[in-house]
Amino acid sequence: MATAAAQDPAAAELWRPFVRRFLGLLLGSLLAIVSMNFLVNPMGLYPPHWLPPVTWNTRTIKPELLQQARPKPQVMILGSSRSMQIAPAEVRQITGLPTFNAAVDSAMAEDYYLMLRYAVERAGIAPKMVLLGVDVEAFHNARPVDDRVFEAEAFRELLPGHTFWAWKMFYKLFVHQQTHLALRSLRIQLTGHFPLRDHFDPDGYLHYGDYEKERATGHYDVNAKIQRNVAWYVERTAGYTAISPERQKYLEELLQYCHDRNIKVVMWVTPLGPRLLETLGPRGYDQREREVLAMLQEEGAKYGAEVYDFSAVEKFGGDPRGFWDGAHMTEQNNALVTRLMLRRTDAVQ
Amino acid sequence: MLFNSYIFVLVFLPVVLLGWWQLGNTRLRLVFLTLASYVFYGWWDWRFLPLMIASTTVDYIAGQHIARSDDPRTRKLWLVCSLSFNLAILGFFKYYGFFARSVNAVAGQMGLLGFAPVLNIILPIGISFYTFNSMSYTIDIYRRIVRPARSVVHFSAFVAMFPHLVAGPIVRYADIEDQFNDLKTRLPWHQASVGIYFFVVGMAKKLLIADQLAPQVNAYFAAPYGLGAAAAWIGALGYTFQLYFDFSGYSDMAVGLAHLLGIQFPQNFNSPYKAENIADFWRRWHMSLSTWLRDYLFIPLGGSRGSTLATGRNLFITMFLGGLWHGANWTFVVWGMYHGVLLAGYHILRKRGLTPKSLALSRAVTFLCAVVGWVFFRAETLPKAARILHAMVGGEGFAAPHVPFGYLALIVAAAAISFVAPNTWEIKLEPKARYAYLLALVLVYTILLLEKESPFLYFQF
Repeated sequence: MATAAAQDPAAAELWRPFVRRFLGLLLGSLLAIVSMNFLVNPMGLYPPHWLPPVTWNTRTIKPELLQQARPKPQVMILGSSRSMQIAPAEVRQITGLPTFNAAVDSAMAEDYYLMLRYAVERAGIAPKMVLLGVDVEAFHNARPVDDRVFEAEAFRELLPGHTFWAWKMFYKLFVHQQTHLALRSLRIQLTGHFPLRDHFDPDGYLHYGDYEKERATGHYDVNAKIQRNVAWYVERTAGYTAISPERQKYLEELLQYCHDRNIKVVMWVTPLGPRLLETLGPRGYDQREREVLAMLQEEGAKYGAEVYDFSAVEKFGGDPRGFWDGAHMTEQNNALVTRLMLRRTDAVQ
Repeated sequence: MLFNSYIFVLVFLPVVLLGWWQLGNTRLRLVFLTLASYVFYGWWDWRFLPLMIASTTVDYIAGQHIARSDDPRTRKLWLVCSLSFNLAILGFFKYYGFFARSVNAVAGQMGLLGFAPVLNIILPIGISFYTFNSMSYTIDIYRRIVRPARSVVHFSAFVAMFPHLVAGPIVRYADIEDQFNDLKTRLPWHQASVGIYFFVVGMAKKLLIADQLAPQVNAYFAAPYGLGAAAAWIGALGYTFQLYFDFSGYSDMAVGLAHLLGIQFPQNFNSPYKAENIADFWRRWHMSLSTWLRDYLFIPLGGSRGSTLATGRNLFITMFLGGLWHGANWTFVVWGMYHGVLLAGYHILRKRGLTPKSLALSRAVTFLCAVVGWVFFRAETLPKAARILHAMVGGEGFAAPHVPFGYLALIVAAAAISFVAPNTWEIKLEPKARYAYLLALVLVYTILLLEKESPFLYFQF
């Protein structure tokens, strides 16, 4: 790196405007971005609510749907996106009870607990039964609480003490995703076109907009989606070396909560497709799966909850090809899980 | 704390720069830098701070005694004391688990289970770098190359200095001594510009290239089986460029940050993929480690003073230990030995005049050798590395891979930059407005990308 100019005072003086210009544009641009993100507020995180949020935070959407659900559900389906296509209509057909699917994406143990508490304490639901789809990674001991939990007012109020939330709210003003969404929000305002691809029924059942459209037109490339998910799940399960005691505590609190209110709990371990299991298995997932199952059985026995091991399709006679993307089951496999579980459970009377 | 994090860019760096340039007293400034560096380090895990402080203390005391004494035995004793301490902590924290697992594997085959107790030891980040920094200090004093640090404050600041603390460049006290003894009181505008330039280029290398390659590379190395030769090559090439842009990006950022403190660091990368032979590659790749290994290992072993065979042996031993330095895993050991064999082989061929005459061919062969080596470096196990290499030579068919176009385009762009473009040190920065604006816009864009925590690959070493 040539710095010879430094030796000559006149030449060195040329660098002063260079630094000033750099700092001027840097600080000016950052200020402009931060102001736009704050005022447009595309994720609904900050006080100005002049424009509607444009993000898909299921931790905001599901509580709203739950508030509006009529009749009030008596069966709650909890879990992650892997349980979002457990059909409430099917559960209702079997149990005779109005059902709501309250699963939220990337759910961890705290999400199950918070959603149930929200339903009971804020939405006035009095469930008779909880169907809980447990992901093995929901007890990850190295993943922090999902930011989206704190972004959702409904959940944030129930989970106090997040020390760094104020700092996160601040730095999120600089984040690419927020900037991208702010620009999108402005574009939507200008064009009036709101492209929402996936959507929920009023009972919380998920429809994959894109996937279903691609499947209908015969352009569905499942291998590409599985490959993408392999990377995502490897990252998601990285550093998962044991069951998190804090997350196990959330499960215990959920079970205690249900036990105290005489709510029947049925838990099942959600499956992954063969390719993901093959990849993740040797990386510790198999071991964690055994530990989670053993823990669920122990907790289940303690609180009178039923537990089903559906961690692989062969355990419930499902179709190994019945996955949208190697992780999320298609309708048929979900229906099979629902029927098997509810047929076996003694809660359906 | 990571250079590529909001806490660093928005809080730590502005506060440290403000404090550093506001304080007038040299001693106070070095204390401030040391404490700030401890915060930087402790942000990851404060429990390992005492280890670094202990290493600093032992080496400072050893350095003072070595310098003070004229008795060869006393000098040697203190040197051994310093080296033993550093190698002991490095050995325990970095290699004990590897040793225990390896011993147990052998013992298990003889029917002895749990022969060596396996402890779940966390590897303190940057331990390989700061122990090497410290060891070079006592060795250089022993060799009478440098004077001992003026005070423990000077030495602590040298060891802990946050720009090089966790992943190098491996700085020697001789590089820093005069600069510390005569600290600048005002940052010259040109040096501020150079610091900004290096930092921004480093951020761009890391966030715009290395991190963009990472998802596909990780996906491939997580599940490489049965995907065919093209996927194997794309995965290996992706990692080849990811590692270069990640580590050289980190090094550029470290150099830039040091400049912003008014201090100059040595160059760590010099377009390694333009190397004409494997020896040239090691003169260009992770130069601060290469020269460390050369000065403190290869030369004491006899260097190239002996016969061709002896030189080959010395190269092999040096690279074997260099491989082991990178990590406690057989993959790194094999990677080191592989490079040892290449270097020894090259030495023999060169002596016999059997090296290729064509520059393009030499570069291509060298690059190919590096790519093959990176497969061992990246794969988690030796069998996995072997499977990938098997796939690369067509052993698992030639199926068309499912690879996004953007990823391929990025590999091509990274290759073009690596093979053709001048590197960060070769570009002549000029005080033109458009360069200032360009650097500002690149930095703004990279700041927007900082949300996803993405540690540098060399942090694990």
